Amino acid sequence: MAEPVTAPVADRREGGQALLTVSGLTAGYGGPDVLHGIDLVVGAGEVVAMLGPNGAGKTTLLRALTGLLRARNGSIVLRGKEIGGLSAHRRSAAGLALVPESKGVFPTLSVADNLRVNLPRTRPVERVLTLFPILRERLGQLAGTLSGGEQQMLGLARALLREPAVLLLDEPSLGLAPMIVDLLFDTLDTIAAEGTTILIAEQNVTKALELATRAYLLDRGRVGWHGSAHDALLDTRVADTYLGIADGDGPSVAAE
Amino acid sequence: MHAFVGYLVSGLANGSVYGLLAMAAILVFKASRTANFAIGETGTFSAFALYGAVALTRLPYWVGLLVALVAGAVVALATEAIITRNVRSALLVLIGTLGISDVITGINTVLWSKGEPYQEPSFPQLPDVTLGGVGISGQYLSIFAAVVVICLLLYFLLEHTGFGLNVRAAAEDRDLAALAGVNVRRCVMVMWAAGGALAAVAAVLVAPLSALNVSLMTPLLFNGYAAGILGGLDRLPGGLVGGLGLGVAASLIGGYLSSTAEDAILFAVLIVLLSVRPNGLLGRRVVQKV
Amino acid sequence: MTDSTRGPRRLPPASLWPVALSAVAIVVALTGGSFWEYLVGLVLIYSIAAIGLTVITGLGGQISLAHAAVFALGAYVAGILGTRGLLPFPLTIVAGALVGVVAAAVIGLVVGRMTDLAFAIASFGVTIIVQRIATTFTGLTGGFEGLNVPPPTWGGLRLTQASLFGFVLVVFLLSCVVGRRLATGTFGRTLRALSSSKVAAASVGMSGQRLRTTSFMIGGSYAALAGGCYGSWAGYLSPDQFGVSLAITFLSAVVLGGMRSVLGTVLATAVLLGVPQSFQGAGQWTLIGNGLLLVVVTLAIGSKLLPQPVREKLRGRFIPRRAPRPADPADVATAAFRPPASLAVTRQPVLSVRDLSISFGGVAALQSMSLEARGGEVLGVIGPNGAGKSTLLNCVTGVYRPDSGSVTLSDVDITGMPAHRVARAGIARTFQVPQVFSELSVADQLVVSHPTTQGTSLTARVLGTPGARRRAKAVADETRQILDGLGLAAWANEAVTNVPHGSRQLVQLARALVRRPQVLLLDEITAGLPGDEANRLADLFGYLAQDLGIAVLLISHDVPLLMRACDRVVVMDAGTKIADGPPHAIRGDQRVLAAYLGTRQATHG
Repeated sequence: MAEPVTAPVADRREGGQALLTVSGLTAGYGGPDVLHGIDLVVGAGEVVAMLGPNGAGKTTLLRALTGLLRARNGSIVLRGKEIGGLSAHRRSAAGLALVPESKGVFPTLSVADNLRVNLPRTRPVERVLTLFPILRERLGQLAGTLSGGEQQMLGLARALLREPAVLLLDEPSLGLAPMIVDLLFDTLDTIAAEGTTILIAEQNVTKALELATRAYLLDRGRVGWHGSAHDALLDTRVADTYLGIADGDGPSVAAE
Repeated sequence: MHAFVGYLVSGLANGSVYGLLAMAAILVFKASRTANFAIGETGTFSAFALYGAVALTRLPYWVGLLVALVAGAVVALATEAIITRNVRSALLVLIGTLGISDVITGINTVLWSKGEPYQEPSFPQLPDVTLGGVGISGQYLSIFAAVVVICLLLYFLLEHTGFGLNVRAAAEDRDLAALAGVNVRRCVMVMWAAGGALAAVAAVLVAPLSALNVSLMTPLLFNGYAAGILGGLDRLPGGLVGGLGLGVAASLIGGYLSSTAEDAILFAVLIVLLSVRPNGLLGRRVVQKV
Repeated sequence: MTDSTRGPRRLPPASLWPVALSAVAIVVALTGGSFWEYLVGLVLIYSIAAIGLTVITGLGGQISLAHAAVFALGAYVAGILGTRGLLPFPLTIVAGALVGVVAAAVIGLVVGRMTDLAFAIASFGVTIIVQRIATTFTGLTGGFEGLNVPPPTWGGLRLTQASLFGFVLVVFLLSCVVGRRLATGTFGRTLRALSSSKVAAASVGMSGQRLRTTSFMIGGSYAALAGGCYGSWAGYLSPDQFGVSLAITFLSAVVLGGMRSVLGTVLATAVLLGVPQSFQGAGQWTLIGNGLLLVVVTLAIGSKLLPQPVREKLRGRFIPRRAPRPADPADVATAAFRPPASLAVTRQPVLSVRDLSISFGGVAALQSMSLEARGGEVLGVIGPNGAGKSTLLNCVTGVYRPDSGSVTLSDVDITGMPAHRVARAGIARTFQVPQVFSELSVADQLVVSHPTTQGTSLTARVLGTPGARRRAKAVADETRQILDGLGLAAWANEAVTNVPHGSRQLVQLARALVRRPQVLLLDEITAGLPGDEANRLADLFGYLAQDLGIAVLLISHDVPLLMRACDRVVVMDAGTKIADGPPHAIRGDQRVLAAYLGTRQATHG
């Protein structure tokens, strides 16, 4: 396996001081390690994209960060506090909110109940409804009856209500129609512009890089590359990892 | 006609007890996707606790009831801590809770088998009522009243409190609930404790009707589970409806067909129903994901 | 361990212990006086029934509380016939066994439709029903009064208690021998395969319904035989002898005995019956003791408190002891994967999918999806996450029933067939998240999946007829060849749970190949495998298609692998086909790039 290549850009300062620092994170499910020592930094106010084909370890990393999966090694520091040893609900309280891949809602709870799960009474759900007007019309409906896009919105809304230090998104565009994906990413743009720090795992490379300031490329459980989002669009390594197009013998994918 | 109403009322009274046990079964199932076969004996243990508190140490009934509820909750929590938390396989959990059930029966026997049967202190009784010429025993009425109060209480706690919402969320999807900051472990324990307390109530209600002895709840356990499975093991109201239906059916079968083969006929019907509707009458179909 | 696919390791005195136990039984019965004689006979009889439950619960994974009911049926049928003097004693028992088997078959047929928990309750109901029948039909059964069963007669002779004891002992010995054959043989392993993964079992052609019914019939015949003996031994039958507590005693014996050990079950029965009897006065405490024993054993088998090897040991003696740990197959073999050429298909298959649609809760997972795969070609299926690739595979293999459309295999319509019949029609598959039979060794995954094993009659297997042995040898040889051919030989006798995740994909592939499939469907087979391994797989697929004539359908995200391995690639997006062609053409297709990278320019032009 190639050594991780550091991009020549001094990118770590781009988002101000580090909010979330992951170092040497190793994790796996019962069997061998799936993640082999991940180092990753997310600065305050930054949007960081995590790219990589299926099986690269993106979901595993997010699960390890949020405590759904116990890391075997390494540290996770959030706002200067080590959270690697905490259970999932404590990490949520510490400020991590994940919208998991594809099933981010409780299907037999109403939309309103979905939003109110473990929410302090003092925090009205109103404020996210302006962001997702469609949810207002659906408040009394069971979440399981929503369309895929609406469910994704609901999952996102619930995470935002928690006012997380870092919002973690796992493949938000998965299984959504292109128009809905556009809408979703417009919303994410708004959220990011309001100053929410985001770490997003996404297969839709173009969309993710349009949103992000920096990107990490995961390849078989390692950080294969990281740098600014702009450089990622130009770097052939990203295209290689996805489509196996080597040495320019295929059409240029990302760059015109 | 009079006989019919009589059967109906006694069926509803027994059915409410099945319903309470069914709800206990459902709470446990929703919390841990498994069964607690010790729940019947947990109830018997609690009924003895009430007897001990009220008849022997002369505490007021309400204190005794509280003792019984706590006893039920504690025994259920212990079952969860010993078996369910450590054993993964649902099959082994069933067998493990059968073991716990034996242990509790054994403890009940060692403590109480000398002076059987006992007269359980009665739940505060409502007066007898005559409805359209048919007399309804106050004992039955107080059972209905107790069940209604419990159901309203559960409904309020689950549907109208923040903690209840957290519990419902944890029951539906543990990971997602934990991500939302819900302490899932605590929710699971609360559901088990509530299941034990419900079993205690069922036993405390049914004991004064018959004699309090160590096998008080043994036959009722399976009726309770049958009611829960008929209701789909999915939502609490399903368990209550299943219990009432089962109770009334049993009472009518016993009254009109055969009093000795009442439970046999009932289970025959249950088996036929379950082979036609494997997820219960009110249950939902689940798509298996591969 | 040169013979890598030899069955489970035998305990040295394996065939001798039933004899040893019988000797102990005889000595105790002879020297202990009539009380001990009676008790020992009772232990033998209950053991027979409990061994039957080992088949149902220990191997088949079904908690049955109906065992007491079948026991009661056997007892009453034999007892009633004996009382009326209609049949000689052995035939009364046979008649009881027949009734018991029929009843058990009915129970087994009903179970398949219920969840485990529902069945546990329903089976309890069966015990209640039989108990009530015995109470109600007083003319036959004597009702509560009970039924006095006269001493058995045979050919005009009255059997003495001693000769009856001998009879019971013979039945017991036979039960042990057959029980052991069932538990350690391919049938027991097949049942364990079924209980560890129903989906995988169906994918290798096992009919869950049929296996379950068979296991209930076998277990039921044990219970009814035991019941028949019980009537004569006790001399008296009454309904309260056959209640739930008897059902729980049987279940406890199976669990305490280690779930699937015949010897263990017999010893546990002796403990459960003998201890309370021998310590009078301990009465009250025995329930607590029994209960604690159940709890402790459950924890020992099922909890994570004990270290893995100890648990494995307790769990089943049939998983072979850990062999010297082999290195990862990737390090062992560097030669090309080459399973035996005997797997070649005789007729060029064509899998054809037409206009397949399915939706889940209003969300369309497949919309009018069509494709065709021919023998001799490797067809790749790619598409972004959520494109419907796995759903397609599940519809083809009968895991899901499509809402509309058709699937045909060489002109045979297999649309909507249950998974095990699709498998038998000649389609084999692997699963994205490996579905292996977690309780079996690597070699046994193949042995139980082999069509020859499944095609050999159970009777022949239990009797160990020369034909059955020859076939078992052939299966073992082919299993070894396939494992060799995939570089898995070193793992053959290892429990599959010890195999690393990536290599489990290879185990699944080996298991699929042993089916001699016409069509091979592989779902993300390279996930978790190191790169060089994936390359060797690519070559393997070419070999399977071109040399053996199998139609290989390869679902994967691994584009480089597909480029290298496939003759043709189908691209899916949003539940339908968006491109179909040779790999190099696909790679330049704008729609494909758009689907993968979400390139806006591409979508718009």
